Amino acid sequence: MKRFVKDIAWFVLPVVFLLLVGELYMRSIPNIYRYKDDWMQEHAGEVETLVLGNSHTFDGISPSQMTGRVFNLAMPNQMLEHDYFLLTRYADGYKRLKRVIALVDECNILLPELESLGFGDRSTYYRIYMGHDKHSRWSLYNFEISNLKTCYRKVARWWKTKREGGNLLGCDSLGFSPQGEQRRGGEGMDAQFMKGRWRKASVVNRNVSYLVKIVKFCQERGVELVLITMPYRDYYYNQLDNNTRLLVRNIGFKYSQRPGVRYIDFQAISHMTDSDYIDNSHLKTSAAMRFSHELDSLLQVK
Amino acid sequence: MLFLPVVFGLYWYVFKKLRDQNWFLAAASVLFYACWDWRFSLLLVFTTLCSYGTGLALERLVTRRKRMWMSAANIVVNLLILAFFKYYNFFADSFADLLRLMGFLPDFPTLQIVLPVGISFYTFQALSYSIDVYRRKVKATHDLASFMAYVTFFPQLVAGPIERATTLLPQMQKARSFDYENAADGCRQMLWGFVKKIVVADNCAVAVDMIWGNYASMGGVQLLLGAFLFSFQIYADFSAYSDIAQGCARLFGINLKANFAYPYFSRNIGEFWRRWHMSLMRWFRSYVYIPLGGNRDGLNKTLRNIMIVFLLSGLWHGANWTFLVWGAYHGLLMCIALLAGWDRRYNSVVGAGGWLKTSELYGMFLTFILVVFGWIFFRSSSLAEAEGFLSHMISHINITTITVGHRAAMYSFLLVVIDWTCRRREHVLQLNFGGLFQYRWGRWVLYYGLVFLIIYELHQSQQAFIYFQF
Repeated sequence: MKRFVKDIAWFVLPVVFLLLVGELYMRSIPNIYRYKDDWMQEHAGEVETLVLGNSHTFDGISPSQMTGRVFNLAMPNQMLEHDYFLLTRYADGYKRLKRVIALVDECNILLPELESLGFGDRSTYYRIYMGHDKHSRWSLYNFEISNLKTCYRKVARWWKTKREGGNLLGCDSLGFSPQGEQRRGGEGMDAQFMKGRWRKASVVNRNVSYLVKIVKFCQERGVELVLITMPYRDYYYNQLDNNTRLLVRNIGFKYSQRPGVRYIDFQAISHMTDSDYIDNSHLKTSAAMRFSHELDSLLQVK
Repeated sequence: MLFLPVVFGLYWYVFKKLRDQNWFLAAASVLFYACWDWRFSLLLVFTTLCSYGTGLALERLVTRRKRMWMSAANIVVNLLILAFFKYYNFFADSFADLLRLMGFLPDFPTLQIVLPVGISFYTFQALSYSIDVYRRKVKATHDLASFMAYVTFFPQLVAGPIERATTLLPQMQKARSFDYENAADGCRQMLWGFVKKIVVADNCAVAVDMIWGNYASMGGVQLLLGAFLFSFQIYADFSAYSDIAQGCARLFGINLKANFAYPYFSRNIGEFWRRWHMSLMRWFRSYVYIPLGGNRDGLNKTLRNIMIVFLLSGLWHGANWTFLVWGAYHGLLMCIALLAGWDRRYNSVVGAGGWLKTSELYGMFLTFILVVFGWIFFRSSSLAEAEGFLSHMISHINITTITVGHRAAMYSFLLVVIDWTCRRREHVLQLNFGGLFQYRWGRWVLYYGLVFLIIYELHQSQQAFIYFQF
């Protein structure tokens, strides 16, 4: 018995040690979650406009092109659940907050939780670096090392940045992520796939419940809420069926009836062309600058 | 993660007497079950006490008639509980559909019933005891501690193997001593179980979910790959749980029966069912097939009995027409095998003597394809989905690019190769300690490699074991 316990201990200890060292190492690498959280903790009182949403707004709205003190708090795959969490996390610090720009699109209205979509690593970051306590302290979501594939990519990127230089965070000081001018991704394959994905989609009530909470939060604080749907490449947009488009639009229009809320569907009014996108739904940096300017002009119109 | 080491430590170091060990095992198992939902642990205790009480009553009753009534009452109570939690909505909806077809407008309430995890497993295990006592195959036990430990034993509580009282209860009643070799081999078996679950099954699950969720926009070859991947997913998933359960039980000095014996190398459907979910098939053979007459009353009744067993087996898996169709399909295959005289062939390990005969290879391939076809019904959420999947697969069978499932296919292929190499062993890591493995460092390099492979493939959105839902 003693021999067995001793053998198990000898076997397990190096694994635990390596995991511990690995976890500490991963946490020492700078990342957007920690950066944005630190920035907001420090500057929440100065922010006049806060941008929420997923990669579509993260890559598409540059605060530097907008009037006033704007910060982009959007991050890849961010859901409305996280938008609400982040909006309220710094609530005590807001002194000049006038406007919140929140995204309404098929990704955050029609898709379920991140964990069930295979983006559990994102939940880990919200847990560790932003204090989102949806998962317990003892769950795998509290350990970066529990997703070795993502860790590997993160470390590789860090080393590449160290060797070749560049922006490790992947965002500028105001939280915008410039994607460059190079087109990437196939023409139609992912659009075909997305078509299949959305075909049977329906509104996820859980997502809408967080949207309602965001609306309520803004109304209570007298903050204007601007719901937007970002423009897409025509090819991709045409692959979405009418039902998908309608579901999203209806949500936008429905909540824009509430006082202090407006909805802008950029797919309907945008001047972007196919060459403005790096893939089917994310804007090139130059296009994002133009788009941010366009958005800002619209927001100035009461 | 802490549960097993804590229970293991207390079991061997603190509770040294058999009776104490059994009470402790039972309490730890009920606690383990209560972690899902404490209310259902009461149901577990009730089911256990019901069968225990029935055993004692059967011992006292003398007349055959009274014994029969007592045994039947216990069966009915247990099956009613199972039927309520598992089948109420299915039967209510199906009956309502039937009435609608006949022109009535029924209004049955649909209840929001939460299925207690593993209810089918422990109910069957508890039933096996009372039936065996009725048949006088085992003596009724007066030792509640050992009986509680037998029904609730946590490694196999939620997804089997379904143990018979004749094999597990005596082990609970005998003093157990720690055996280093048995425990170490148990750890190796658990390690291999985790490899199958996390590396193979979970990777397959991601691809399979994507393929089934988008089958209408995918090509036939991709769907075919999806069906193959589901076959490996369910095998890796369920056999992994069985390996973990067996390995874990060995840490406590208990030996559970094997549940899988490399089923995809079966050369006909009869052999497949002797190698797949063996504990369930043993249960149905002993408590349904043989009491119905087995193969003693002529061909027609044998065929009828086979169909009944497989339909019940389908229904056991879940309250859905897809499971019934799956069961009926396998029943039909078994009937055909019986009529052709194939059902009892091939009791030995495949390729035991070296080379495979062409007929064996052909049989293996055909059996696998037939089984894969059946899994399409098993995986689909409705008959309409299964039909849509199949018709889309056939009508779009042109060679298209496979976009989903490369990684899962690679791991599945590796699993097949490893299983084939190790098919004579009870589990893959039952090393013969030859070559490099005669040295501890050689073995540990392998174990560390597997542990890091598990960690590499570990995903926070871990898939639950498929058979938990049954």
